[in-house]
Amino acid sequence: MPVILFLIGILALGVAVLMRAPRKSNAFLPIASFTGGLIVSAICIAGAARLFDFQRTTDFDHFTANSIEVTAADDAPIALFLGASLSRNAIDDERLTQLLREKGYPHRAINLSLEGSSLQERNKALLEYLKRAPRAPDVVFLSVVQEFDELSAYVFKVAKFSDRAIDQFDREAAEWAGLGIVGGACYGTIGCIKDIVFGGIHLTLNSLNVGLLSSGERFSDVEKKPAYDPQTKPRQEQTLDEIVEALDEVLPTEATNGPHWAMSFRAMQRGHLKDAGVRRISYYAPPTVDAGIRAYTQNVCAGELVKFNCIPANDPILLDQLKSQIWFDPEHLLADGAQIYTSWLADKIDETGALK
Amino acid sequence: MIFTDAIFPIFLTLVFAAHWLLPAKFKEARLMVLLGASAIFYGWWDVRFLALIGVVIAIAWGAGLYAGDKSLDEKQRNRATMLGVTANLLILGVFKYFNFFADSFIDLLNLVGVNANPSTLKIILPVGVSFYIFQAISFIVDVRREELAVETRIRRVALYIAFFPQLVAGPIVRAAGFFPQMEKDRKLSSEIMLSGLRFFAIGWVYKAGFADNIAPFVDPVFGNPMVAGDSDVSNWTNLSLVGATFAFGAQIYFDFAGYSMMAIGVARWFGFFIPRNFDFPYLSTSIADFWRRWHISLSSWLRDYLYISLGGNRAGKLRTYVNLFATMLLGGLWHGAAWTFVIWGALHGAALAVHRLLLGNKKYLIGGVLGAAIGLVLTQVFVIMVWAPFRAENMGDVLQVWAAFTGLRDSSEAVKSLEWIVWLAPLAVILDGILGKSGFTKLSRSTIMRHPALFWGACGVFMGCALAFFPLQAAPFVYFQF
Repeated sequence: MPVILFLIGILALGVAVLMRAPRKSNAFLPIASFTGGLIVSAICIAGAARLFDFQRTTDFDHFTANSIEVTAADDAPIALFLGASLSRNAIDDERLTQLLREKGYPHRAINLSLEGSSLQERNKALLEYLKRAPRAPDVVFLSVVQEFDELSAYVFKVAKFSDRAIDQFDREAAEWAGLGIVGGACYGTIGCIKDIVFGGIHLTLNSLNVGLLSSGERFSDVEKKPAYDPQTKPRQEQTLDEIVEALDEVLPTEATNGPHWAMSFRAMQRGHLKDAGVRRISYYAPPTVDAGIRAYTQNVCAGELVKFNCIPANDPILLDQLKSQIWFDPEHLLADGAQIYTSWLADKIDETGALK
Repeated sequence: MIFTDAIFPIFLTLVFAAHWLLPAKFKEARLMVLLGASAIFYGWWDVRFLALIGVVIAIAWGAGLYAGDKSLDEKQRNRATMLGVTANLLILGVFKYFNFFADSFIDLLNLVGVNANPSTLKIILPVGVSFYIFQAISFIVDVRREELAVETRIRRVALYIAFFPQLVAGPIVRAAGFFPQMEKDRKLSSEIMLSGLRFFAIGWVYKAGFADNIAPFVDPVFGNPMVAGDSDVSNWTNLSLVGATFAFGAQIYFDFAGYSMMAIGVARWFGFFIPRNFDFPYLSTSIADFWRRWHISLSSWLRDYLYISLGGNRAGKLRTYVNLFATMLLGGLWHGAAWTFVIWGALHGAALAVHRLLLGNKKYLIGGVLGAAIGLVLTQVFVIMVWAPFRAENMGDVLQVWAAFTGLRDSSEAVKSLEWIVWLAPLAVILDGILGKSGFTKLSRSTIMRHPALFWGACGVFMGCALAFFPLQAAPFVYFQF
């Protein structure tokens, strides 16, 4: 049993053994003493966890640990792709590395993506990577997808009361979620109220370290897993006609900004990356069947992110290649689709000079 | 539902409120609240289990009516007792041992060259069946022995057998001790609340703080208890096998004692007093002492209903040894339908018989502190080594573990080893003994510790630790399988 668990277990046992009926007192003293004890122990446990490098393990940690290992094992400059499920299914990083090297780039591509990960959760994984990797990546590609910009408390859509939700909802993440909610980055009045309530609960659970010791482990013990997750069978049937019709629809570009909170978040993230020594930052989004989702990234690339290298997946050449049964569902690619996108992405990276 | 499930605090709060909000004069209604809660608690696993426990209750109640009926003659009352006990044992036999004996019979046929491969009727093992069957037997026998009046109200028999705090993993409560508590006026007081809290808190730390965090060191060595046949003992170094066995000794203690403490705490919140099930067994200085401290409710049940029924020590020395051995052998089988449990029980039975033999020859005994120290070491090394058949998947693994203990095993090609921190598990047991049996407990009774600020501050600190240990996915208790 890890040392931290042993120490805190013995502390808790000692306290439990000492519990005996107290003398009577007014109501204030018990409440104040209890709250004080709770806060002090929460702060001490969080501090001890940091000291022992002990943390909750989420899927992202498996991928981060793997990315760090890959970085350490290869002297090549790193091109890190940070995204959610669209990216996890769409970017074959081994293949992309090979294609980039064929084009004369020494870079190693690393896919660091997790399905359903909010901007805050992704940033947490990115910071973990930057902190632990032997060197900063040369280039970081950050995914821009409509749904994550429009829901600042996205995690509650996919993983309420899970380790993952509690882990990511720290004070900073809560502040960003709050900023987003104030700016309307939530769905309807009831949705906003729910996000506020869940946000408050999860922030409390995070602050009180709920589940930290029962489900945590030392980062060095985290199992390493690659993020790329090729799918072979569709989970949602779509007819070819539906796919072709949707991919034929390319909406005109209207330069726009993302929601205020998402813009601020991206600015903050760029600051972190710059401070860490990342040379270049790019944005991208894997393709979807839905034209609206594709257009969002295209519009933000033309507006908010116009000063940055940005690769939306709205290129008719790519979309033509994707007009077949290579879709996992309307938003995600099967492995065959991932190969097409990865090849196109390599070409596009070369064309836009993202690695130069 | 288990005590460390996230749903349990909600369930407990609702039952607590429903129970205590009823006026004291509605004593029977309060008991019915507990009975209803027990049905929900047990049915949470599988509603089909309720039918089985219903049958057990009906048999116990019916047999009790006749066994305690003084208008019948002794033979008739004995017959009713026998029928009730046999019916319960049959249920236990069918649900717990049918697959085991059927599989063993087929293995035996195959061994003698008869090709037998019939598909055994796979019967699911209802959670806690061994515990509540023993309680049902306790009720029938206690009524027959006239330690308990005949109970005509089946609902009370039902509550005794199905009382949710101790339903699935004990402690096994005696009928003669429980029924009078149903009769008396139970009152909610700060004393029972706080003493219940203390028991529950200690049990919580045992389970969530220690047992669940020791398991990740034990399971890779002995195999996942949920996946039969996946152990790879041979890959581990000798020190790892010894460490894992010590760790398992700690795990099972914290797991089972933890459940028992929580059960005692929960029962106390409803005004019921359940006796302690563990008394720091790893401090025992002889094997007999160990069984006075380990799973006390089972060992005393076996003593009172089995060992004494077999004749106890009343029929000569040899018969006493045989009775001790037979009682522990059956006690081993009670734990699980596998030969490894039988061997575990047999070894404990043999050790108890040898201890009894030595007691009869005082010249072999060493008194004083030295004797106690030697007794402590020998007892604990034996107990720990004998946990190997309790935990291992097969006797091949057991032999490897024992060879590792004795240094007879060549592990030069073993590729896996446990980290040193596995030894924190037995250290936790030692510290638990020190906290529980040293002057530390006296400190808890001191005036200063009764200061409200200190008490409530300590509660806050405990809550902080408990929340950090709170399992978002609760691990089952080891003894549920029994």
